[in-house]
Amino acid sequence: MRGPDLGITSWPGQEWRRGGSTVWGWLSYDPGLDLLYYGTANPGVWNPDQREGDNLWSTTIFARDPATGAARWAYQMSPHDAWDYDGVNENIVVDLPIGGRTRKVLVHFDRNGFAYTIDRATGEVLLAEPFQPINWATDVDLESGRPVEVAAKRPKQGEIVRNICPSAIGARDQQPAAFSPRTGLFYSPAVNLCMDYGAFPAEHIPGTPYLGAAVKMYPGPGGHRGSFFAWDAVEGRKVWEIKEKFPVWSGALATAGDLVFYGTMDGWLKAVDARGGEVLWRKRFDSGIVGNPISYLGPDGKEYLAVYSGVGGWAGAVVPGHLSPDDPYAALGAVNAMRDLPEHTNPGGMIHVFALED
Amino acid sequence: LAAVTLLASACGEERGPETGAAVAGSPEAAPELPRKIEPRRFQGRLANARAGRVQFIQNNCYGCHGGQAGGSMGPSLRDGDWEHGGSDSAIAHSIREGHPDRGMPPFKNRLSERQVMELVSYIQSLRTPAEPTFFLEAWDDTMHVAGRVP
Repeated sequence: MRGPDLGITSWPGQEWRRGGSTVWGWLSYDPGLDLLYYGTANPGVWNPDQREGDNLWSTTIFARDPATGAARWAYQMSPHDAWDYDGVNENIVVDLPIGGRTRKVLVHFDRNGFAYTIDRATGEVLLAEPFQPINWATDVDLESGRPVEVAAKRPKQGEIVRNICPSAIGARDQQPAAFSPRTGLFYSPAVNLCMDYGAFPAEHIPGTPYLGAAVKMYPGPGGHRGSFFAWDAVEGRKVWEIKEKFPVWSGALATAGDLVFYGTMDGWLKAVDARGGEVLWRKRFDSGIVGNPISYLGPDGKEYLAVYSGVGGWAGAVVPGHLSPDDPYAALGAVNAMRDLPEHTNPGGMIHVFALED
Repeated sequence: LAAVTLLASACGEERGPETGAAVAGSPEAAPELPRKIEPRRFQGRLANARAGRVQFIQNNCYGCHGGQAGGSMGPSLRDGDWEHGGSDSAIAHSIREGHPDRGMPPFKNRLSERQVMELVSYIQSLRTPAEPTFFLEAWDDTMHVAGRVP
């Protein structure tokens, strides 16, 4: 998409000045192409009827020249977002065999529920497939790059639209996936929540949230609230999936030993066979895991695994924030889906380090 | 890894994700309240609590304190724990002056004294049978007033 001042003209009046679309996620850099990649957040206000238009450049992946800042390409994933589907999740830079040749791609698991495989030199969307049950759109038109929306699932001012999947938290939040060059697969956490969304007017008051939305979340299809899965970004399909009681809010780690690690909100650190998806080892901590497991070589030459436990984040706010479980709209509706979490874990803040045996 | 224990597999089934309007969540599967919460008693006037609920929505209070004041980025106002006092006058003071060190702006230049006291009345009605819970209706009367809504 190209044109002068689209970031202004795709909004009514001066709404672009206070329209969210912030950059609060991850940055990636490709030294070969000398391009910098990042995603932008949802547009504000949450009530979509106060900001007609595509609301560029919200929910957009940008490729920029780091020396000048000039955009090489940009791709908006959720035009005129009405669901809070931020586009800030990480963009993983890999080379994959596609159509008989090696393509320089970028893989992105978006909150809107689609996993994208994009040519990172040109911005061409090669593949966009849902990785969780979703109903706001049926698919993505690869010609135009636009999602094919389900009109009944788009929030409107003055109405409560029920049962939209995924919820405002997204089919995945900002905790990053991992890629294993050994298996050629991606490993990603996921969230399986849906929502009711009532939109109403909001006044812009500096220092206060600019919303205009009453959101209430609950478990998605199947009743499990999260999962951890392996993804083939060439074919656009899940290879295996482990269902979890709560949203998976930790990052993923893939190792050269063909193990992948992730944590759960009820405190389990799990090691999984990267190829088959079998849980090979697990250990429970006092508090839930919303950090990213890492492995590293210590100064003593030993290999270590480290992870932070200490539950929190949007889905886990009910625990450290002492939110009231009888307000279904607390934490922008997340508490309705998560009010039993305090029975399964505690507030915390610990680093756990494991050494590999010789 | 140290102390490695082998455990049974928890591998899920292989199946593509569903899409489209047929996909539906499970509102009825939302978890039960962890414990019974005893309602409080409300001594004020219902009309004031309802007027305060309108202020609570129109002034974006719900964005920080939760849709029914159960907390979000800001603390819960319905749990009976007060960091700055829970009397009518202490709550009114918090609304007028804010707590800028905690991220809450002052509202004294925006709200009349009557509106502040309506908000106090709404907050005192929380977790009582009189608590108003409407959202969209907060704008019914003022939706078309010029200059009110952008």
